[in-house]
Amino acid sequence: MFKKQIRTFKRNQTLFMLTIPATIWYVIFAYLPMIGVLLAFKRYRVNGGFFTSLFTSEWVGFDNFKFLFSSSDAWLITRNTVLYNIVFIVLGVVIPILLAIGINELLNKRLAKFYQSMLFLPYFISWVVVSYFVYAFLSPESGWINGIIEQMGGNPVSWYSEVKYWPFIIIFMGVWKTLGYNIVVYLAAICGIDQTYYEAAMLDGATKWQQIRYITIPLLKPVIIILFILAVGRIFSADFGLFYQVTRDSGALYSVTNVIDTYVYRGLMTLGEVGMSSAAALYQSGVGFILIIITNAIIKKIDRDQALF
Amino acid sequence: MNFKKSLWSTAAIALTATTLLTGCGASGTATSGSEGGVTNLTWYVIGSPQRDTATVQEKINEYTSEKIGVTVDIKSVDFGDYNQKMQVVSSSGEPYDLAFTAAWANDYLVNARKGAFLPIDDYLTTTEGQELYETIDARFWEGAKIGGETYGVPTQKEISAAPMWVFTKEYVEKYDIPYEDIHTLQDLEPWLQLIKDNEPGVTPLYVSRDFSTPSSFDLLLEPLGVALNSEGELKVENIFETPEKVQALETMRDWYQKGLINSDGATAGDDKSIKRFVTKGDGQPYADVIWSKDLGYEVVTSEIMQPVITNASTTGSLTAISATSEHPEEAFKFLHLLNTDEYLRNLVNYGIEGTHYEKVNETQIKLLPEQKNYSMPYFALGNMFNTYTLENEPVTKWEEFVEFNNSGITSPALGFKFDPTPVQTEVAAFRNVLDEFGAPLNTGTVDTTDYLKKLNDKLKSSGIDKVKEEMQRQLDEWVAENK
Amino acid sequence: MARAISPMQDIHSIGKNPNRILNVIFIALAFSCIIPFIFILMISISSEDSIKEFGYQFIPQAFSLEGYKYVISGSDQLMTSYMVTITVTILGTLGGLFLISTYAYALSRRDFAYKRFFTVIAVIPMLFGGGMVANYMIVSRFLDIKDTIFALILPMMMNSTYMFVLKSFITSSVPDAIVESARIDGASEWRIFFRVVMPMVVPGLATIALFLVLGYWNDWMNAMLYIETDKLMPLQYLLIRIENSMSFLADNAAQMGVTGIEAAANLPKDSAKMAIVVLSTVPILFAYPFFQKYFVKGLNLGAVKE
Repeated sequence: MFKKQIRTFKRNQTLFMLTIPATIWYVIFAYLPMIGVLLAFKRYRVNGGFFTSLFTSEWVGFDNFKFLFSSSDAWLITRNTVLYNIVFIVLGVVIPILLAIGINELLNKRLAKFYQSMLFLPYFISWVVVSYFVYAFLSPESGWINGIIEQMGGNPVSWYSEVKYWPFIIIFMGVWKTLGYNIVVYLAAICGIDQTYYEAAMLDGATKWQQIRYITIPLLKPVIIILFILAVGRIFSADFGLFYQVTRDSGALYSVTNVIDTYVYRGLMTLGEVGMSSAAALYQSGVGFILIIITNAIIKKIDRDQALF
Repeated sequence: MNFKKSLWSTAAIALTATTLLTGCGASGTATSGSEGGVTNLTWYVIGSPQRDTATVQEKINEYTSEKIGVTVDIKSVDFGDYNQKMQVVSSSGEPYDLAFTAAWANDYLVNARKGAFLPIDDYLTTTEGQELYETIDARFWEGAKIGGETYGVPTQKEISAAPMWVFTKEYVEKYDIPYEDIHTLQDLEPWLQLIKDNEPGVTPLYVSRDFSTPSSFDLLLEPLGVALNSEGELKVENIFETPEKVQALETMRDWYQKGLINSDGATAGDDKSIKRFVTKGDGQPYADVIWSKDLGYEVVTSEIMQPVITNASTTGSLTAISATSEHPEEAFKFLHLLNTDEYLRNLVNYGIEGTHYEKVNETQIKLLPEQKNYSMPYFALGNMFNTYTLENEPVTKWEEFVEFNNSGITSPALGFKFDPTPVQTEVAAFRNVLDEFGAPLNTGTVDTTDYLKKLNDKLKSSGIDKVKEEMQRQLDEWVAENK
Repeated sequence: MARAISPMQDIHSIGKNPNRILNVIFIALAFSCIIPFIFILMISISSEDSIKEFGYQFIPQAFSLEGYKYVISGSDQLMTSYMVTITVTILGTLGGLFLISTYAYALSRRDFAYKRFFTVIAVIPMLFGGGMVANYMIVSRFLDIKDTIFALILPMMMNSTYMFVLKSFITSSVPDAIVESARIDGASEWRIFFRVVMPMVVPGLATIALFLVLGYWNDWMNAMLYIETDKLMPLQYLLIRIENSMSFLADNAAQMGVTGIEAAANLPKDSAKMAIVVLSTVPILFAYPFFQKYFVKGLNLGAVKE
């Protein structure tokens, strides 16, 4: 038994050594701090150092989690978070891939590079600054859009209290901001595809469309699947800045803009309980973890090689 | 199985190795400690870090080390990051000595309950402590009490919140408006109409998202509180169920429909480019000077109601000693000196004489251009009444503040601090409900009856009754002990 | 005339009309992305008075370079911060590339016996974290690197998402046969990794490097938590702390009353704030084409081959 294991180890020695640097990082920066997860089950009170405080604090079981489920908004915030994330996952795959293929096909490579650089700009602007910009458009009193509507003889819209527009605004802004970033992965993946595939296809007389359909997309599949599994793990988390800053925290819009992250933020402002924020984070990642395992199992059934683990 | 074990032990060895390596590099960063009989204190202050802090600090330390054997290390943390940074610092049990705290930043109540601050009552009974106690208005001390204990030294400053109407002088003069007689919403209405009719392009009453109708109510935990004019028995009420509030909200709705208020109030920040006739502000003596400077044109003010002294207004600024402090005695000594010694207080406030400011007479100063490298938040640094006044301010500024402080009405629940721990689940839902409906209601943007009902229904389903009951119980207990 | 190009190229590249349509789409997209930036640029050169009187405008009533003067004058903080950010970005990216590529390569190998174990090791931290307080404890107490440049570099060096992305790049662009034949030729595992596999995934490495660069360039959280000396203040944090303070003061205006107004008066003005946005974004935009050549190269290759 033992001998066999040593043999296996010997055979894998170098690969094992290659994982060591990052494993050390994981232990220090990811696994050691995980003791903080205990906070979710404690009423944290400072009593000397962090570890002493952590262990002497009272156990409260699942008390810290209750606020996530007890409110009448519990269903609403879960629904909003999950629905937006589903849309973002789908659009986050489809749009960047289409654009990445598009950029690759452009005849003028200089222009292609230029567009690509421009698409990256929003990534550098923080949500706070984006929110000023959106406000300049949508401000009910001095916004440009209302200005145009009025010039054309229409009635101004009070944008920040009209629920119906916001799912679209939020989705648009969310996709817009990360577009340049998301394209890069697919661009690089397309670049990595062996040119001989295309040459062979051309000799067979395949059209451009057929090449995309039968070569590019299948070869992008591994990247798509991995990014998809990882995105599923974050389905209960939302981008706070998008839902809080861009909407100017307008109460009238909560039915479509309140998500788990904003709800927790507001809820804990007055209470300041570390345990409750840990509980919220644990809830979000716990659900994500279960979903990742399920997704991975399904993918494994379909195609063993594509699964994450 | 075996393999996993060996994996973990390899990881453990590697881990120890790295800690040894990194541990060697920095051998104990002394954040606070004693050297040669002089104790160094770490002091967290709110506000942007200043370029000249180090220079001023040197000067401070020269003075304090000689006087009380203490030096300080001032750590300024920006307004926006102060909450988060202090939460991490205090939760992690990191040793530091002094920190700014208030009802609105590094929450005084929350941190005291969490055990982050040291009770200082024992120190207050010493001779020095007595002197410090007497320097500061007794009502501040009363407001700082939590369950009979004091967790910080309050800053001597304006004690009450004084809601005011802030009128743009231009229109007051143009229409000869007797602004000093305008107090209630009803007083205001005819003049709003006048402006609306005669000044197109001017918003009669400008409101922003944090506007709330004036009310005589001490909010202990929004939306619950007690009426300020309560006599005898104290009764916890939901402010959105009091007739006074309901009526005020109806007025706002009426004005909104008449076009007397800006239509984007529920989401507006204070946009200075909007021309307005009047707006509401929380003031203090000479607030009009500050507002005028801020807006870039002259304003005049009138009091909406008598200033009120509440639990929130008395905990607007304190300095606490950390529970993790290794030198609480020295920290207290420093606080005593900071609040009683004029030289030190002004040094901390304005910087070095001749560099950052110069004296024009005994108690008045002129700020020099170098001041831009040392502009501290005055209100967060201890006893304000010991600071010099600026040359454009009256010499009697602080006397007037004392007078102002004495004119306020005191909340009957001053000193009562609600402990939300037993009802934390319910309380967590409040803020969401209030943020959803509060601003639209207060700014008249939505139908009053309809939305008040929605608000109260949602509060009910979140368990407001349970919280109310708990608060009433704690309040009754407090009354029995203190009245 | 329209068909002057060879039939080979005709299939390889798209026609003129689809190209036009694509161009129109990309121009619209690029426009929507550049507009906010122009907006920021215009605010940064507006005079404070015109902002106060008319709000933010595309074409300000009065121009002024006060914002830039404010940021640049008086101290060398801006230069120091540039240096900090650049140092952190370079060191962090190199270190991160090393950690990520070694780990990703090991996981990409189908014959690696402990593949599953190390995959799980990498998946769990993507989901579960101990929270800010626990992380703070590790950096400030356990490692004792608070207020050093390592506090800005180390916590962000490894990233499971990037690692998995790179892993999938390796699996799809390095066929097993190549590794196999290299081994038969007598190449050591190290040699295979550095000399055979890495050169084959340059676009993947460039992607990861770009993400690391962006991550380090935009990071301010670690600076907020761990950095207390001005000498180590990164560029982004200069900006973010002003933004955070502005929103804090706006949110607490009612509670702070006049003190809030006084505090806000001490903050840099809007034009200065936008000037920092411009100054912190422009250098990274210039760095982007450096990475870009690795993404666009691949498809030019095809053309060269012909």
